Amino acid sequence: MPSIKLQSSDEEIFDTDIQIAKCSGTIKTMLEDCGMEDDENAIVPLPNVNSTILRKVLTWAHYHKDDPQPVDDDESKEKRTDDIISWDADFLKVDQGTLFELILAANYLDIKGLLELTCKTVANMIKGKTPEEIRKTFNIKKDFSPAEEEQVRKENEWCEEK
Amino acid sequence: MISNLPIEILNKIYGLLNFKDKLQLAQVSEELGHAFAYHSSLIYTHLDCDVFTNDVLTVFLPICGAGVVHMVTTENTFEKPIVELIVKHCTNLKSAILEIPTDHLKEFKAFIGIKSLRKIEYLNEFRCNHIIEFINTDCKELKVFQIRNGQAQHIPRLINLEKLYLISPEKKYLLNIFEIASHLKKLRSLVVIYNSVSLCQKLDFLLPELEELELVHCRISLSVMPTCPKLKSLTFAYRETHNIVQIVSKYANTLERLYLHSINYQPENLFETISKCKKLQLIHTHFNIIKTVFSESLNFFVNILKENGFNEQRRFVWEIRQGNPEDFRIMMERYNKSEMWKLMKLNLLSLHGNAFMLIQNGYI
Repeated sequence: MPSIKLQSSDEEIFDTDIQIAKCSGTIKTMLEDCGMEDDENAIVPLPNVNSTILRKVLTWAHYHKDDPQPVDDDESKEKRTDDIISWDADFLKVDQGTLFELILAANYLDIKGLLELTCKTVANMIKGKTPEEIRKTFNIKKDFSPAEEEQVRKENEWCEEK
Repeated sequence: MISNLPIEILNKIYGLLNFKDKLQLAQVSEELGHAFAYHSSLIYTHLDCDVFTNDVLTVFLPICGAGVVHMVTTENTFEKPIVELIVKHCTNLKSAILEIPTDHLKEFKAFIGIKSLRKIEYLNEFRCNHIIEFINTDCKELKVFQIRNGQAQHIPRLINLEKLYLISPEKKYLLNIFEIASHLKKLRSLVVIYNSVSLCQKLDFLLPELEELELVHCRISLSVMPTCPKLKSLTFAYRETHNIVQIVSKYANTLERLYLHSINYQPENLFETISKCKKLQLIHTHFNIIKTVFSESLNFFVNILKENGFNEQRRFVWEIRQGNPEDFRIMMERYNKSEMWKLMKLNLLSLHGNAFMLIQNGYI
């Protein structure tokens, strides 16, 4: 099976099956536009993805290589987030830093399925929480003054009652 | 960190949350608040206050009010703190559909005075006075249900109005609708639904920019019809309309579209009208009219279309509602080969008024 060399930002080379690499819209476009598909020695540089993340991305892409292309659905409708398969859930048992890097990589590499999955994981971490609980979950410092904080608390009373 | 994610990704995450969770996330930090404002500007430009409680609006409006361009209010919307938030934050609000509340009239007036509003529709179910006076004068489109007679007299202050709809005004006194409209020098469209003995007491007002005039349930007579040097579209819906040819002929030089609903007239009235209105491109009638024309005067009608310069490249449009499907099928089969199809197309409307079939070359 033809392969392609992907180079991470820390210059590690990943010999990758071309079909798996092509689950990335960015790589697919590069290969097709630059005529690199038939050149076994060609290297595709990915300066925005380090080797740790690229390895994870390729692991995910290998597992999902036979998945159908995700379709763009209506942005204005709330989507399900409880449909994550157990392999994906295990795959994303990572620290938050890695999770956000995976989101950025999926976005940069244009891998819709992985982007959807990682965003759903973040959404699940937010659902049902108060602003303070969300801050704790993501280790965010308050950027409101005490007066603003009091205002927010008041505005929020209705949520907490329910 | 989540706050550092690009806005398009935060937008995606917001899209996976329900409204309550969105509001919670928006309050976590300034960045996440901005991301929610961006997300809302894409999907919450139309705000239906019936869907959101005032508690929700209290959080939503300060963050996302600037993205709201259209609002449908409820009685509760006019509670003072909510109106204050709307006035302060909804700086791009362009249109609103309102019901005058039983309470909070002062707040209602503050709302309709919002400077950015260009299109206002309201129902005056409780027959309130002193409403029109508070609408901002930049308003371009006004639709009022059940306006009081005295209130209608204040409409001329809205000098920038381009479209005016008066639906079922109060019938206590005769409303001189054309006199009122004559003060609106930018008015392009006037729709009146009014069960009244007459539309105007004086004669021949000038509506200089009017292009569309629709009169429903109004008793129309030639003597009250205004002068409209730019009128392109005329709609009548009233059974007892007399002198239809003379009325329409008043606009013969400019009229392009004529919609006749529930009006009694003979095919010869129609022929005379089409003959006189050389720019007329479309006519809307009941199915029975076209049936009569086809069966009794088809050749005469074809000659009129030819005289008006219609041909295969420029065909006259006759628009009808379907009527009895069997009658329609029989008629179309009978006239399938007629020369008329080279001069005319038929727009067949569904019961809801949408054109669902355009027949250009006979029945297919």
